[in-house]
Amino acid sequence: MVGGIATTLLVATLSFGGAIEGYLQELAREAKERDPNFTGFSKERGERIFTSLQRGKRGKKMACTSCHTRDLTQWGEQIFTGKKIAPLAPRANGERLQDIKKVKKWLRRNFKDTYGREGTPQEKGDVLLYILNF
Amino acid sequence: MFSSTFSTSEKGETMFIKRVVLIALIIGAGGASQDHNGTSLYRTLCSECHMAYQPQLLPARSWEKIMGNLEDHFGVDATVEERERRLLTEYLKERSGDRRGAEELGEFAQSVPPNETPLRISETPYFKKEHREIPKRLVKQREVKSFANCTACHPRAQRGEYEPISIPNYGPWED
Ligand code: HEC
Ligand code: HEC
Ligand code: HEC
Repeated sequence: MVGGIATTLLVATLSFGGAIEGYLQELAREAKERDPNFTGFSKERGERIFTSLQRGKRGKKMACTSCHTRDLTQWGEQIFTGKKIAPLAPRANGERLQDIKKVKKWLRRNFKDTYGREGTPQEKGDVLLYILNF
Repeated sequence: MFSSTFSTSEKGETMFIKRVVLIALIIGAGGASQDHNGTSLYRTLCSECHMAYQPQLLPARSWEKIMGNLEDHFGVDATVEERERRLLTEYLKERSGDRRGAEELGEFAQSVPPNETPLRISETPYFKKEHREIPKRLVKQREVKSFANCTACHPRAQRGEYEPISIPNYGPWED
């Protein structure tokens, strides 16, 4: 029931379609379970999550932007290895946010590297909304 | 100079397919497709943050140790599913440079004393010897960052070809 409300909200306001929509709905259900006051994801919160400097790894403070840059339509770079990273924004790179297994894997890894812990369902939804709207 | 069975060149790919076909004819498709799965899994999962290093570049015990701690992989999280982790470990160990009959790149693994288990290719004695003349600043510069970035100086390294050599902001390296 509760999940149903969140789902309706999301479908009404997002409609990105495809697998990512299903994953956002799953995250919304989980967020609502954790916090009954949850009303939906916010790309403004997502932007803060993506751009704010956190504890990072290897003695280096990091933000999501450290590797992906602030402009998600541009190429980034893995800061430790130098390997180039294709743009994260789906409007610049049609392959992004298509494969949910891949999305989950990288959110797990990248939250751990940047924040030193996994992201909450709300944080993941917020940040995905930010990337989708970039 | 250096080439190896682990090669992503078109030639390598064709040779690989031929071998697979042969093996498939002899022992049935099961074993061969396993082999192919290992290769594509390795090239997908271990080339996301750097090139997929040729398995010959380290001894089996080093791969085992690396694959046993992907949570803290040189300071970053490189975890994969447990099933994938096991497949990749087997794949790497079977092709490691310290096994008998390893090809040229096996010199890296074979230079490691038996009581050592380096986690880096760049820590093997053979690697150090080959790279001893390169000034530190050319390695530390932002276009390279570290010796782990083989492709910065060996543009064809992913295919198992370590020549030609050209260092950013320095140019071609002639002996
Ligand atoms: C240390 C470097 C680094 C940092 C910091 C980093 N990422 Fe990534 N990220 C990567 C790499 C490498 C990939 C995979 C490369 C590729 O697919 O081209 C990736 C992939 C992703 C993907 C997968 C997109 C897809 O569908 O292909 C998402 C989503 C993502 N990152 C979000 C984030 C978020 C959110 C943060 C901050 C919490 C973050 N990243 C911080 C390196 C980083
Ligand atoms: C999330 C990013 C990431 C992924 C995925 C990843 N690595 Fe790494 N790897 C690194 C970083 C960072 C380094 C250290 C780079 C440096 O500082 O020199 C490294 C270094 C290495 C080195 C040492 C290179 C040297 O000689 O200096 C090996 C070997 C290695 N990785 C193997 C693997 C294998 C095998 C896999 C697949 C299971 C893998 N890596 C997946 C990030 C990654
Ligand atoms: C900063 C640039 C640089 C990086 C990074 C680098 N190399 Fe080299 N490498 C060189 C140079 C220069 C030589 C030749 C040295 C000489 O002849 O004195 C060389 C030589 C070699 C050789 C001998 C090839 C030949 O034909 O002479 C091999 C094999 C090799 N490197 C492998 C690697 C591997 C594997 C990595 C990554 C783990 C790597 N290198 C990273 C610069 C680099």
